[in-house]
Amino acid sequence: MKIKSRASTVRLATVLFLSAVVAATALAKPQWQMTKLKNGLQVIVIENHAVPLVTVEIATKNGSYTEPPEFNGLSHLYEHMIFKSNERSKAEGYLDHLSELGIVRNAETKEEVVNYYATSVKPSLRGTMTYMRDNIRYPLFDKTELEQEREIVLDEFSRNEANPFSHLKRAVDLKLWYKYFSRKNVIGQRDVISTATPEKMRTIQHKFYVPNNSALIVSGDVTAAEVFKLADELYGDWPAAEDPFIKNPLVKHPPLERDQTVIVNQDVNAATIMIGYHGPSTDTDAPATYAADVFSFILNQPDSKFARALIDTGITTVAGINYYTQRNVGPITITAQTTPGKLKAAIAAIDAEVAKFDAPDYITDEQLESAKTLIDVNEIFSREKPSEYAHTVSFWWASSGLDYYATYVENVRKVTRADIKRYVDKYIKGKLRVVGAMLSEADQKRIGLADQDLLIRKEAKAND
Amino acid sequence: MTNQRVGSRQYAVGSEQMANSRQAVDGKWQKTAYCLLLTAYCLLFFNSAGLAQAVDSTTDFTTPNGLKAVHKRVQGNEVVAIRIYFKGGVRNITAKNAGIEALMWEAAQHGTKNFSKSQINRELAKMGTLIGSAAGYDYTFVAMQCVRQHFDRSWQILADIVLNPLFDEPEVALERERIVNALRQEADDPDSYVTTLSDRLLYAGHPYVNRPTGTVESLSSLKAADLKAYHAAHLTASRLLLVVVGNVTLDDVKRKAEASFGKLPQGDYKPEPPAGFTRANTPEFEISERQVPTNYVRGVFAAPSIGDKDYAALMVAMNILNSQFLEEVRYKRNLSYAPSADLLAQGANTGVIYVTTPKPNEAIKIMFEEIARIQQNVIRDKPLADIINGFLTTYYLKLETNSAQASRLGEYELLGGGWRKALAWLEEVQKVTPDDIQRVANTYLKNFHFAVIGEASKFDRSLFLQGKGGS
Repeated sequence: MKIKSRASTVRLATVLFLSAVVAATALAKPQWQMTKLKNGLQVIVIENHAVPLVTVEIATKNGSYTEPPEFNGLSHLYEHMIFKSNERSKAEGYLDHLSELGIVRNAETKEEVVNYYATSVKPSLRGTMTYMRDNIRYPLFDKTELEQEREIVLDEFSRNEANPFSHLKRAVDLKLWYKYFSRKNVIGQRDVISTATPEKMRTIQHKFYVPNNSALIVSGDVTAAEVFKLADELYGDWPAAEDPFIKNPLVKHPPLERDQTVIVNQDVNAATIMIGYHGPSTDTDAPATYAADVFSFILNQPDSKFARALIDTGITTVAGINYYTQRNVGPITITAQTTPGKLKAAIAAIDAEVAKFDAPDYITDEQLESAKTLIDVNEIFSREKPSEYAHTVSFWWASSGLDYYATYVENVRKVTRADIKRYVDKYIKGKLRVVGAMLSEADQKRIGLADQDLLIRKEAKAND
Repeated sequence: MTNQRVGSRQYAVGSEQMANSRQAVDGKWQKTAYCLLLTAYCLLFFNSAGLAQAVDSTTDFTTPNGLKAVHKRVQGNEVVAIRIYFKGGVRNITAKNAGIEALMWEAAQHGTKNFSKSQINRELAKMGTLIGSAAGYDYTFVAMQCVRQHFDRSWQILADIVLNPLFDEPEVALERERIVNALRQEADDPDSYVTTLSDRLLYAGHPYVNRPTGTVESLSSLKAADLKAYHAAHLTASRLLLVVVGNVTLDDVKRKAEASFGKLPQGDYKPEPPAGFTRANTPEFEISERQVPTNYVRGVFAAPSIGDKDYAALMVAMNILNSQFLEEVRYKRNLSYAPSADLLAQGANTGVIYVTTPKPNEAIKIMFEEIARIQQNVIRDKPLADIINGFLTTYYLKLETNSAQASRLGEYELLGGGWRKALAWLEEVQKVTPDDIQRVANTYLKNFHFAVIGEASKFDRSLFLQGKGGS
């Protein structure tokens, strides 16, 4: 099942940047309808009658941010097990009925949320909501099935490892989140996955899969009234439990103690640069998160000074910056790609740009306004596909809260140049960071790249 | 996607649970009446509610100089999706200039007669309009997505990109380097590389052997003058197709099409039916030895195109096969995270079976057993009905956005016998019979061209070369 984690490749970084921007274009006036069941289950309905489909999604605040090392990767394995046998699926006729519903389903594990979703045609709303309830509430964690699924997840793990960019991301993350790496390592550890037991699955279930730590999102050709009624009927007796984050509060990622570098050798033809910083958290510095998104958006436009200095000059072929919105320290990542011969020049050029990030003329008023307009337009684009918009809502429900999301656009509209300068000065310019580079061993020797070359700090001078 | 590497297909839960497809081929299902009624109800309901509406709101026109356009009015949202297709694809190119259309349309966005590069970038950002291009085997296209409020201005920029690109040498060089750099990295990712390798086997001796994205060598020799000459020689009304989906009127689209493209020479472009693959009947196996954490296997075979009478039946057969691969390879034997079967949509079409696995011999043996199963057994009505139910969901999932609808209309207009056939897809699926599935499985599921990446010692070549059949 799909693991979505930030920026394991440059391409992924780009995609996720886009999705972050799209997702971030929240609702100035929310067009969803909400209720909360007595057991604490948040129910969100997004009506869209364009095509006769319904998507039923259940999101739970689970994921790598809840995983100590001995559980690293088990939120993901659990996600795989949810669609295996459950107590209800053994009943006679269950699978017959299920196969008639025409359900297409999937699930994703991220750092701060695990979401499960099933899409079907309109008349199958009740059946689909029932199917999702059965999976979430009554999993069996059959030992044989678990042993089988471990192998599947390990093949997924291997596929991830076969992608060279995953090695660069992991290397940077190991240094960026040096004390609690497991909390940011969504794919997990091979040995933890290969020794997982039904008991560990039950531990996760009892701790996190409770209604007051979950949300039910239904989007598509539905009415809020019918969904609220069905939600109460099908999910109302799901017993609430203790908030899992009371006994297990989020870890506090310590700041970097010094600049870090890492050179990763893979059998690749290009050279990739990845620079990571600790960014803001929605819980503790929401204003900076709005500024971060506007700033990233401006810089990633092809007409920005950043893009012109790096891409239009030919120093890099790809360059971008991303802030990944998280409740518990969202990373800021600058990624770029170039030829090995230009790698050192590219690092210096990026550094020179970072030094100017807070200069008054680095962004124009027009760019600032364009960013805000684009946020509105992106919101229209993202709402066009209700089956995916449900995932967007579940992401924000977990990582920021719906109030944050509901007022996102209006808060973004208030972002000023001063806000952006505050964000840059607090989180990027002159701040400790991890600089990673990936290239082949032969290219590294050919260009004579050493760790010291990644420590260029023109921006520090600008900060003096 | 749970198990698909590309993210373009999904599978139905019912199929995955295999109460259906497993028993389907064993022929044990008897209680079919209710399920077939349900399917019929669903099809009827959605045909009347959704499909009929689609027919009503879609139409086409041709400008006096021969530019054909397809227009679909969608009033439920504010998004306008446009595609301007450039017909021919790799049939327009040679090994020497492969990739020229991909480079041309990317470079065209770097400045036009009426809009500088900076102006294009700034104006698009201000409006939130997205413009991009893509190159395929049968066509290339420039696509735009905007909100209705900015349709007029966005159209002006799009039209100028298509009609009046500057192709300044430094800008062409920048774009060329970006694409070349991406091509150089292709082999870095085993997933994309195994695709390249397997396609190359089947496409040898066919126009598709010249890849639409080009090669490092072909692109490196292309200069601005080449793009200008190519653009001038090929840009005619008869070579273009315009598709517009959104809340804009037919009159508005007509006016814009005639005002912008009305002066283009008509030209005499006539689509040629795609040639068959010359190596279609010769199974192949090629290994790229590499130390990778898991082995990558991709086998391709010649398949009917979307306009062919067998396409719907083979699509159903591949969907069944996909479910069987999941059940037998993934769930029962734990051999792979990602086994799949897929059918593409090309003029000269291709079917694909794919798996990543630490045990490739075991996995491929099972996959061939499953292919034999649907070739030798008749699928009963109940499982077929369930599969068609799953089609309803995936069908509508593919129509959620205006951009996706524009893509589908364009695809059928160019390759599938006309855009109206896109609207009749569910009816085509509904007509598929168990006999059809068995017949197409025997006709097409053979002569696989396998490319694999991994450790040579893990592959028994003879296992992969089974499944040879006559033409």
